[in-house]
This record gives sequence, structure tokens and C-alpha cells, in this order.
Amino acid sequence: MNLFHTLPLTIILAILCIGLTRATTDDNEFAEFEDEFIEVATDEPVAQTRPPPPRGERPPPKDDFEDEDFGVSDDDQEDAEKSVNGGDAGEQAPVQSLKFTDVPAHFRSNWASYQVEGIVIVIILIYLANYLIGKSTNSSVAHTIFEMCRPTLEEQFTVVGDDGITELDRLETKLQRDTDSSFSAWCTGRVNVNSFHVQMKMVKRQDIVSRVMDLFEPSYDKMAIKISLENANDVDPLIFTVGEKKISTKMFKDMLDLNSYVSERKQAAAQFNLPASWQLYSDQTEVIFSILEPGVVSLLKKHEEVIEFIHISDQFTGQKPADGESYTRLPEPQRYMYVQLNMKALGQDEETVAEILNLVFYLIDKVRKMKLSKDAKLKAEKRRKDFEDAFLKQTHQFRQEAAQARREEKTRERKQKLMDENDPDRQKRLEAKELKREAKAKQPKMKQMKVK
Amino acid sequence: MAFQCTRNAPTRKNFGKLGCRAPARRLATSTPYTEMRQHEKRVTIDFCLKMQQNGDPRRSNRIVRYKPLDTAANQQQAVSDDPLPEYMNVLGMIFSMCGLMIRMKWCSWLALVCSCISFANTRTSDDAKQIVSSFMLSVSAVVMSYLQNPSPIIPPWVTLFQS
Repeated sequence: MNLFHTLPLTIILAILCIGLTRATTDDNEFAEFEDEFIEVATDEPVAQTRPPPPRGERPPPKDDFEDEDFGVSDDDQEDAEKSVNGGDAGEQAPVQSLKFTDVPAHFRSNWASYQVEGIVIVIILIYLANYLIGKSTNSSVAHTIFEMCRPTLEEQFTVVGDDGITELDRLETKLQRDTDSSFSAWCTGRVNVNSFHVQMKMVKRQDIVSRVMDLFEPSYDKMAIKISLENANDVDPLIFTVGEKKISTKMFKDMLDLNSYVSERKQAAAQFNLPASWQLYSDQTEVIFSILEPGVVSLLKKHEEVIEFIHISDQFTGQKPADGESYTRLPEPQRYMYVQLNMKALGQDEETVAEILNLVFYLIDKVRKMKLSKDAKLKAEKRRKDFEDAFLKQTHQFRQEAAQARREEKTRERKQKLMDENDPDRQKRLEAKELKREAKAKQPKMKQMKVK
Repeated sequence: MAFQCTRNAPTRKNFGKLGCRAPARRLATSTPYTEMRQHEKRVTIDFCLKMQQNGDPRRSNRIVRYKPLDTAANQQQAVSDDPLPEYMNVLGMIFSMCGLMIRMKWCSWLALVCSCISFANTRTSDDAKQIVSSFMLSVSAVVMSYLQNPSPIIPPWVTLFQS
């Protein structure tokens, strides 16, 4: 009976020992534990009563310690219990054949059962094939349109297609690949322009997931031209946007400069007979009259489908900060012109491309030469000043808090320095200085007048 | 357009009925609309000629070199423009970990698909090491999960048909 009680404990101990030795021990150490285990097993009288298992039915003892170690010892325990019960009853338990679990055959012998894996591999192959096709399609579309733009760009700029690394003498005019669906060309070296960055944002033809998403939210190939205009003192202020209603409304909501200075000009749009689907925004009416010449209007109307919007601004500060966020300092405004074109309509013929690019260059020069009346200029400057004041007022509290935090940080640093000082004389001096500073801070701020 | 052919459109015959004066005879051959179109065309052509009359605007002393996309601000801008590759990278990593640790085979396969999507959307300025490591991790997740247990994934339609 005593043996019967200690049996599970010994088995558990043996399992633990085996588990411990799995990771670190070498063969000799294992052999030592194995011997102990066998000894424990052979000492039992119950084990002797158990009939020897028939050959072939019991798997041979395992030398390598696989996952089934635990299963084997559980089986042993059960067998031992059964045999003890059987010994008590004085009967021999009938020999039961071992049940083999359904271990799947090696994958080389049953390919048919790997259906899911097959499907996933096919999906990946389709994806990669589409990637190659989409990538080459995007590349060919972008290069075709760039070749259409190239003569006009080379007429206007000293450098076309700068990559920022190659020396200018060795530079080849080529389109840069940003991603497989986005290409760009940097042009520079022109009067009135710092840089002219052409970006072609294509549909992600190389990515099936994006194509599927496009079914719900259709997109199309776009060409965005970002022009950094030269900053000069004698240039008059202006903010002006004309373009397709949906896109310009979105721009109006997103862009900080449009949102802060500009209002919609419905009357002017009707007066200039702009397309019905277009909207016009400007900070002043005079700006519209000086930019929208009859020639410009006629070209805009002619290429109504190609031009999505034109945004010219002397206060370009990028997008408005998200809700709940605000700038602590107003970003430095830049003079920018931003044009977005529909590439599908643009790529119809070379004449369209040349006309639109020439219109853009004409507008660049026009904006540089444009002169507003004295009143309009004063009004524009006053509006900019008002906005700046309102911003400073709004952020006054934030700045005050920041200054307070900085002051506290400085005080803490001084005190830390005082504590760290080893020299007692110097420490005393610093302490006195600190006390003086604190007294001065507590003193009410007022002018002292000497009374004679 | 302003002059569409509708029943009440002003023609020479019904002008009296509509209560307006008949137009002059010359307008019968060229309507104001076509005149307007011709005028617009003339303006456009004149303007195009005017646009091209500028002298050579090229200035070699005004060259501003291109700044590559590896600066932090530009990188941030690029990420906010299209965050898909970053999302896919993270998802791929999570699925790979699930495949390796919890031995979920479908997770390993999903990690491989995520790596492919991340690769297809990668930017030229991105580090190639990231894509390579993402692929290695997902492939190792697949290999390890099948080395440990070569049984196939049970397709969902099998249980569907059985029930």
C-alpha cells in the first residue's frame, strides 16, 4: 500500500527531471535519470505481475525527448493503476490493443488535402502577377505623359528631373520613381520660380487590395504640380483658388490659408462665365479681375475636364491642423502655386499638355508682375496682420504655460546644482544667491521712487 | 447650352408668339452662340500666341537642388499621405508572431500576404532591410508551423458540409 501511494509521486518527479534535463543536459546525464526511472519501475512488485506486452504493439522506448514524453508517463500511470486494481481482485486484466492516433501522413504523400494552402499560394501568385503588370502599366503611363511635358519643361527650366544627388553636368532628364504608383520630376532654374515639382499620383494598379478598395471609392490618375514661387519684397499679396466644386470645397476646408483669409466669390464666377461645376475663392475681388483675363478664362473653359484646381497663395502654410490640435507658433508662410490635373484627360494630345503648362507659366509670371491698387494692398496687409494678432491672442495662454514650465525647469536645475555642490563655501554662496532671487521674485513689481 | 432646340426656343417663326422682336436677318446664319464660340477661339489662339512670346526664362543661377525624401519631415509627410505599407508591415509582424508562437497556420499565410502587400506599396526611400526582414519572418513562420505539424489547414467548407 505504501508503494501504491508513492508511485504517482515518483512518476511526477521523474517527469520533472526529464523536463529539466531536456534543455540543458547531455546524453550521460540523461542516462543517469533514465536508470533511476527504470529502477523505480522495476522495484515495484505490481509491475512484475503485469504481463509483458506483445511485440509490435508497444512502441520502443524513446531516446529523443519529444512531446509525447508526458503522454507515455500518463499511460504508465494508468497501466500501473489498472494492474494494481487487477492484482487486488486477483484477476489479470485483458490485454488491450493500443490505439494509434490519427497522425496525418507526410505532406508529400497527400497533396490533395492541402486545399487552403493551395488557394493561398494561388492568391499570392495572382497578386505577384498583377504586381508586375500594374507596375509596368503605371510606369508606361507616367513616362508617356512626361515625354509629352518634356519639351515645354526643357524650354522653361535649366534643370529638368533633378534627383538631388547626381552632378548637374551629368544629369539625365528622367522621371523619378517614388513608389510603383507615384512618379515625380523636379525642375528648377527659371525666373520667378524656385522649384517646379511635378508629381504623378496614379491608381495603385500594382496592388489588388487597393484595386478592390477602388471599387467602393473610385480614384483616378492625377498630376499635382507644386510650384515654389520666388519671394520678393515688391510682390503683391494674393490668395486665389479656382477649380472643380467638390475638390476646391475640400481644399477650402483643409488648407489653412484658404480657411483663414478667403471667401467664395459666386458673383465673380458668374460674371466671368466660368463653368457651372467650378467654384472660385479669393481674398479680394481685385485679385480675381487681375488674374482672370479673357484669355485665361477661355483656356480654363477649354480644358475644364483636365484642370481640377489652381491654387495660388502668398500665405501657404500647408494643411490645417487636425481638430483639437493647434500650432503653438504660426508656420512660416511661403509663396506657392498648386495645380492639380486629371492625367487621363491630359494625356489625350500633346497640344493640351503644352497649352496647360504654358498657362501655368503665364500665371506664374502674371502673379509676379501683378499690381493691386493701394487700397486693396492695404486691406490685404491689414487682414494678414489681424489674423496674426488673433492667432497670438489665441495661443497666448499656451505660450504662457510653456514659459512657466521653462521657468520651473530652470529653478529645479539650479536647486539640483546647489544640492550637488561639494564645496560648503560655494554652496552657501549659491544658497544666498537663490534666496535673493526668490525674494526678488516675490517682491511686487512697481517702480521705486526716491523721496527727497 | 444657352440655345437648345426645345419647343419654346426662340426661332424666327415663333418670335412674335413668344413676345419678343424678331432678330435681324444676319443672325439667322450665325447665331450669337456660334459667334461667341468663334470669339472665344480667337481669344484662346491670341492668348496662346501671347503666352509663347516671352523670352528665354531659364536662369542657371536660380537652381535649387532637389532634397531627397529621407529627411524626417518629408518622411512623415509621405507616411501621412499613404500609411498602407506601415500598417501592412505591423500586421505582417503580428501575424508572423501568432504563427510562430501560437502555431496558427492561417496566421503565417496571412503574414506572407501582408508582406506581399507591404512590398507592392513600398516607397523608394524606404529601407529595403525592413521588407526583407518582413518576408523572412513570414516565410519562417510558415516553414516552422509546417515543420512542427505538417497537417493541412482544415478548410471551413469541410465543417460546413459535415453539418
